[in-house]
Parts: sequence; C-alpha cells; structure tokens
Amino acid sequence: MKGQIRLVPAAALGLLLSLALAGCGSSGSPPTPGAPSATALPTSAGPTATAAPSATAAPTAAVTATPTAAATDAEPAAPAVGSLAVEGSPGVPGRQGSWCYDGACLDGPPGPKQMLSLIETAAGAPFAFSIPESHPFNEWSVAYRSRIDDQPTLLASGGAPYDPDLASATLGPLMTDFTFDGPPSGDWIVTASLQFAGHGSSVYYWHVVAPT
Amino acid sequence: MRRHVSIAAAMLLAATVVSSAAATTPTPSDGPIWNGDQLIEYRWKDGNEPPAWLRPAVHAAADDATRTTRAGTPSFGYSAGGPAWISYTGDIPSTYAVAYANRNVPSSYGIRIRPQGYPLDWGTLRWCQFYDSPPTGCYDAEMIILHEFGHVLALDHAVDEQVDDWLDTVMHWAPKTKAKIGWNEHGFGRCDVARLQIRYDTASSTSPLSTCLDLETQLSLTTSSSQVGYGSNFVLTATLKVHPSADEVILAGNLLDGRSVTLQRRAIGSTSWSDAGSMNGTGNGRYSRSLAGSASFEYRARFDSPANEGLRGSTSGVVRISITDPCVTSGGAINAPTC
Repeated sequence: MKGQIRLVPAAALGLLLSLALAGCGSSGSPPTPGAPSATALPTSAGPTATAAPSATAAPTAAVTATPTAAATDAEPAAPAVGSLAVEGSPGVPGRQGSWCYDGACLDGPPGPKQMLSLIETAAGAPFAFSIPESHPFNEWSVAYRSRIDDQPTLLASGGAPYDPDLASATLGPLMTDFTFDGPPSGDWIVTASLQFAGHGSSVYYWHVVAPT
Repeated sequence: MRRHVSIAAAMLLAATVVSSAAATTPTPSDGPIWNGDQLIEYRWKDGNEPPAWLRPAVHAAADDATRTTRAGTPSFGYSAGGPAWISYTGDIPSTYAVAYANRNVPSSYGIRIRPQGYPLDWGTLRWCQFYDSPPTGCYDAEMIILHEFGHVLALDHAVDEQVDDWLDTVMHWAPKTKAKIGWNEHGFGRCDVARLQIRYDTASSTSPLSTCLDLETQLSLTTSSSQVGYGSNFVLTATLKVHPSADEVILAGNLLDGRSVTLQRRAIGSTSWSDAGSMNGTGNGRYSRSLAGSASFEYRARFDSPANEGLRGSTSGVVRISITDPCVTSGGAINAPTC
C-alpha cells in the first residue's frame, strides 16, 4: 500500500465544474438573494469510487484547483498550487485554501474532506511537497487533523521565519520543496502552509488516508 | 489490537505536540501600511451595492476594525464618495471563496462579498444577517468583513497550528460558521492587536500592549537631590519605557504611561526592600513621588508585569539619598527627636 496514490474523479469533476462557474462568475450574475437555501451541503459529491493510480491524472487536478483570475480590476495572481507526492508516485495538487499575495487576500473554506484530493498511503510514509519556482517560500509547516474544525497537530515545519517588522529580521534561503513523514494511521486532512517571504502566504489541503 | 495500539500512539503523539506547542505569536503581516491618521472611507460599488440587510454588518465591521485595534491604525467609515469600495458580487477569483480584499496603499482598497445563496463548490453560501433566525452553518457577515478589514490593514492569515486559542485572532485560514466557537467575534483578537501594534505603533502611551507580545521594559530612577537636609523635600522620578533594544522596532523605546510603578526603599547596608508607596504618573512615561528627608535610604522603582499586558516587569537602578545632618532641620532648628 505504501506509496500508492488514488485519485478521486468525483472531486476533480467538481473542481472542473467549479472552474466553469468561476468563469461565469465574473459576469456578475449571482443567484438572486431572497431565496435562502435549505442546506449548506456540498454541491460536489464525495468520492464514491476511486481510480487506479494514474501518473497523468494528477496534473489535471492541479490545474482545476488553481483559482482563476476572474476579477475585473487588475490584481495580483493567486500563489501557485503546491503538490504532495508519496515517494515514487506523481505529485497530487492540493486544494488551495485562503491566501494573501502582494496586497490581495482571498478567504474561503476548504470544504469537506471528501472534496479534497485523496492520497492513500502507509502511516508515516515519506512525503515530498513542491511548488512551482515562481513562488518560493521561506517557511513552511505541515499539520493534520480529522475534521477541519479540529485543532491541528503539527507534523513538521521548516525554513526560517521572516518578519520585517523586527530589528533582527533576516531573510533566509528560499525553497520550493521539502520532505516530511506523513501522519499516523487514520483518515486525515493534511495541510501545508507556506510563507512567501514578505509577499504573503497560502494553505493547501489534501485528504490523506493511512490504513491501520 | 494493533489498531488500538496505533490509535493510542497517535493520541500520545498528538498530546505531546499539543502540550509542547508554543504560545500564539502575533498574526503575520505583509506589505505596506497606511498612515495612522487616515480616515479611509468606503462607498458601495456602483452596480454591486450590498443589499440593505447586509449594510449594517459592513458598518459594524468597519467600526470594529477602527475601535478594537488599540494601535495607531487608520479609521474606516462610510462616505458616498469614498475612495474605497465594498462590493456585493460573485466576481471573486475562485470557486470557493466567500470574500476577497485588495488594498492599494495609501489611497484605496476594495472588499468583495459573495452574495447570499451563491453556489460555491463546497456548498451554498449563507450569511447569518440575511435571516431573522440565522441557521446553523451560516457565516456571520460582520466577522468576515472585519477579517477583510484586517487584510486591508495588512494582516495576513494566522497559521492554525501556531494558534493556541482560536479566539487569539480573527484572521484564520477558514473562519468558522454558526455556532462553532469564534463564529461571531466582533473585534480583533489579541494576536491581531499585537501585530497591528508592532506595525502601526500603539494608539497612545496609555494603550495596553497586547498580551500576545512579550516586551522587555526599562525603568530608570532619578532624584532631585541626592543629599538633603532632615525634613527637606526631594522628588524621585522614574521613567518607564519599552526597552530601547526591543526587537519590535516601532515599539522600542516607547514611553509607557498609566501603569503602576512602585517606589521601594531599604536602609543603607540592608539587602531587603520594602514598599514606600506608589509613584504618580506625570506623563511622558514619568512617575514621581515627593518625600521628606528623614534618614538615609536607598531607593528603587519597580514595575511588575501586568496581567493584562504583554510587558515584562523591570526594576530601576538604585538611588541613594543621604541626609546631610540629621540633627538640623531645613529651617536650621535642632531636630530634637533625633539629637
């Protein structure tokens, strides 16, 4: 089981659909207020089936998870999307959560665990995180939790803080990847948080299952 | 059995990490800041005006963001001709976001709020303010817009695993919905305040410094005269400030008023101090106390770390006051009780 990654077509389809919605969103045609929805259940179905490992499917999810630049005003682009890979397997793009970058900030929840890209692997398996070179970072941390509202448990962290408001501020080396050992057995939301050296920050989410 | 062992191990690991977690640090921040004396007024964006039910929440959030920083931050308020704007729109770059802010320091900013009922990829957006009886799972618009004003002020997001108490900040990656803890916070958290104070300075020398800070203080003590006649008055003056070498550049050296400073004394040669009363604040970080010379003493001022501030305690250097002739009063008469 170690190193095996199973992708979730349902989630990927949901993201594709969402991308299409985002493109339409810029036309300014939101639903008419006044008709409150009965529930806030996710519109994307959870993964009811999983596909066999596929080296070509993963990058597709990466593209669809990237927020689109649908705003009308000129504004900074979102940070790039980071990927997580178990040793020997292709990277799985994370679902980007809230971010700030060069004066713009976007806020939104990651949605339910079932919407996140699924990685199934052994407990404590070695992971490798990477992000395109366009968005190097100075500090990172990885945590896991069972539900998004739970207090996360820190798995690993690295890099060096950079706080230009402090007299002691020094900018350490920038990086675009790191490795860490995965969570223990369980069904987890894994988050990777990056600090982009004075430009902003971003968080990425995955659904990681490590069978007992 | 193996599963039980794994779960126990996981719980032990989690407990270990939680117990060793550091206290929440000041909320991260990026980019340039505004001038503290600015009033940055917002208007409703033409064609995307928020509905009537949402507007009070915007104004309340602007008031929260002005009122609860305890820092020298700009003020926010509504004006039909304001340079900044609030937009009620689906025009936000993502399929999951509920709100978006961008700033153009020092002239304007924009805050976009997704409309009620908007279909996001995780579900349908619901704002609590839309309902007479807000349902579980709705977002409190006032809190979310306060969060956006936090971004306008240059606050970034707090990193969840570095936050001990959810209420330390309103700048979470994923704000909570009704009725989870912190879903309707209407003021910046203490670690948001800490960062705003680090970036914008405090609002005044009496503003309490956030407990999310841990600042060294410096206390000095001077006297109007080190040698006085019996019964003569002398004045001891202490000066309290954030230590000039504090790492937080903006706050370093700040004079601190409105604090409690105690004067202590000891007999010459003694090693134990006793309180000689409180010192009275006179402004510019100064605290003074006037005494009449009765015997030679050594004095020092003491500032104890207050429970409601992120300031460390400090003690001044020692000042010795010698009575020149204990047998003669300041009027030249013989001091009968002593001689």
